[in-house]
Amino acid sequence: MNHKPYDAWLLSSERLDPQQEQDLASHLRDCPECRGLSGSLREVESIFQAAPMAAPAPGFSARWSALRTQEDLRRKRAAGWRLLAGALVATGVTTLLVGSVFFLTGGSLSLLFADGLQETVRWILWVRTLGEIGQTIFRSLPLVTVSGVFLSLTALVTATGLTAVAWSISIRRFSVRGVLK
Amino acid sequence: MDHPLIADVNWLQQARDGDPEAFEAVVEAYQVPVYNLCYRMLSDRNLAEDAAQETFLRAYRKLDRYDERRSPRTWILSIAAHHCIDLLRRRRLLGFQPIDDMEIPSSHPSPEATLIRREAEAEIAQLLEGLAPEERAVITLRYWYDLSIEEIGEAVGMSSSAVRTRLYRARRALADRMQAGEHSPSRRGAANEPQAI
Repeated sequence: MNHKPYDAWLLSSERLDPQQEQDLASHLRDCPECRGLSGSLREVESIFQAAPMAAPAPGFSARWSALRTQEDLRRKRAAGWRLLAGALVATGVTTLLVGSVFFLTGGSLSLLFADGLQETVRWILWVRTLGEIGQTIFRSLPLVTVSGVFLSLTALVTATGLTAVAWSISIRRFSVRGVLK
Repeated sequence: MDHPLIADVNWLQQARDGDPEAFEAVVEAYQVPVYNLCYRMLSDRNLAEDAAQETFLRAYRKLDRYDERRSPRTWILSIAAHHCIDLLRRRRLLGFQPIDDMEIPSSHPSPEATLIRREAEAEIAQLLEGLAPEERAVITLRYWYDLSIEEIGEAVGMSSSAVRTRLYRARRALADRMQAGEHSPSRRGAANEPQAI
């Protein structure tokens, strides 16, 4: 006997229209195989429907809270280790760079020191020259402009400082304490 | 499709804003649905407890990715279903069979009622045992949660047509098992209230 499409209708999760239901009922009367399939499906469904929702043992929420506390601690530690690893990598890279410079200067400590000193002096002279240029311009300006520029510079420095502090706090918060806390 | 309950969404929002008690309310509200899904899929109380705990931990970690338009129930069940599917796949790879013989105190006072319940649970576990992990998930979500095809698709990350195919195959496999008598005799009488299993 041809079971199509009746077995598909029985196994389908779609609702059948009245005509299909009538055809299926008529087929089931004549087909023992499809009747067996239909009966088995009904039995499976009745077993599932009779089974209650399984509930966990009492104290599930308390156990979860304890687990979350452990997890938070573990994540904080992991963040600390990541920070330490980052610092170690940075130190390693710096050491490697300094070592390379040391090697390039012929392995002489005195030469390395002299180069470093020379660079530092050059930078100090640069900053001093810039300062002198700024002072000369500042003195040549009228008094009102000078106070305006002074106030603007003070505001700019303060804003930059505050932004840097807020940024550092955010970075620390997200990297060490996590996003959720 | 079920619409997100405002109270549940509020709890999730508060938890996301850093209120730990709000997420405890979510755990309290969804512990039975999540545990039941894990238990039906894994057929083991200890594994189900661990999987349910892990589900809530994952949900807690993913709070910032929760889409408020989604139902919290479907979202949490989706995390549980994916976790259990992964566990079942791993279990199949390792050839591990669960041993579920730990006695947990239940609300049933009579030993006979406990025995009936245990037999019924064993029968369900045997029926579900032969199904593929995804088929277990769609069958459980269909029969115990009464989710629509679209909601099941959302929970297990499948298209509606894929869910229909899985349901079809799973129902065929279950009927075949039932016809072949590959399950213990069924005894009815379980209450419809959630029970500590």
